[in-house]
Amino acid sequence: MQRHSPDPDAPLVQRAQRGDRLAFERLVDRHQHRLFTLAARTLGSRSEAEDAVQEAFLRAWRGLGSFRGGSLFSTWLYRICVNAAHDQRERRRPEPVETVETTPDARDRIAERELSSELQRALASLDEEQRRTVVLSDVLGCSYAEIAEITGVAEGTVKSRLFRARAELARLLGTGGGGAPSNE
Amino acid sequence: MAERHPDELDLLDLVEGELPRAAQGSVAAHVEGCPQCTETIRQLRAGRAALHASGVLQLSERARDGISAAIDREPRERRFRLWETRRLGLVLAATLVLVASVVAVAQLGGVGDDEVGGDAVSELADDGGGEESGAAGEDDASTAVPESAGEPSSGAEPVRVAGPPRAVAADLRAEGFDARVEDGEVVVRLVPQAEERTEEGEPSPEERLRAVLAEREPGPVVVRIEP
Repeated sequence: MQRHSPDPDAPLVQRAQRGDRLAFERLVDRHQHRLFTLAARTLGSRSEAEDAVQEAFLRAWRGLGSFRGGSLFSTWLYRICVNAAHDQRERRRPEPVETVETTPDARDRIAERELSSELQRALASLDEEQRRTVVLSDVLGCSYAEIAEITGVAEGTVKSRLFRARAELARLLGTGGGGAPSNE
Repeated sequence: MAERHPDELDLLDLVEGELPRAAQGSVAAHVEGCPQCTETIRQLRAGRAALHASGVLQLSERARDGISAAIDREPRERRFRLWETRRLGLVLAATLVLVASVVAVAQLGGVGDDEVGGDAVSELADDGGGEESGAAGEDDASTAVPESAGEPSSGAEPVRVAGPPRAVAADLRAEGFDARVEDGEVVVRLVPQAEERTEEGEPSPEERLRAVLAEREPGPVVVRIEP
């Protein structure tokens, strides 16, 4: 993807590529919440999203040497997170898994509340590609071109998915009419 | 309606402000007189607003600590393989040139040739060293520039930072600010979120916003702060 703006992460990425662990930690701090949102809204589960985010940052740390700056670092990171979330979904077991009880902090409680909201139920009714596209666009502020690069499809496909996803969300949330109208 | 409706993706582009200027007039004029397309536009805006309002979820500190712990468990040798391989390659290349130069000097026995060999070695060494020092220079810039150039000025004067406007707005929303893109500029409205009321002794939203902006690289994107 062609870029016209300098990557605000570039200096930290260069340091991290030389093995500067603190620089990478700053990158984690900078992007952790957005990656969590992407994973959580896609998977619909806080604990699975946490696992996917951890896996995404691990993959990023291991693969930093292969990042050449052809795209924004955030774009590269989102792509890794999308793949990690997809893998997490593939591993999902048919029955709930016993998890170790942890004391939820305030952020956990907010995330749990959000993930049981009407909005999340509406999101869950979209297919995975539409859900991913609409979260990347409308929560994370990615452009068509960035979403195309992250999800590996053409921009036209991104727009089509975004159109359908928004119309369906509006219908499900009672803020739209009778769904996406036909075009004739 | 007799007139053909615009392509639905043109309606999406219209909502996103991505429609080419040449097409904006005709599409907007059609929408104005077409209840069906007006409804489609309303749906697209409603769908976007629903997610936009939901904002960015916050990863817990426990999970954040888990990321650091997982990286700590990574085998150390894996992390620097690429960099060390590159460095080893440079050392080997320099050694080979040095050996070749010594052999050439021994064969010719001339003092002048000695200097040529020395130049070749130092040139190669400069290449390798240059890469390191150049990178270090960028590091210096990364720590020094944001604190000064990225620091927002006082009053309502806009702040300028690097990055696409939508990404800057998303970054600020990730930090809990009400940020949006308007006419290519990022507008931040300073209203604390319900879950993040400012407590006594904590920095105000504006102070926190200024600190966040100060961490960014300076650039062409205008960030306006609205009280």
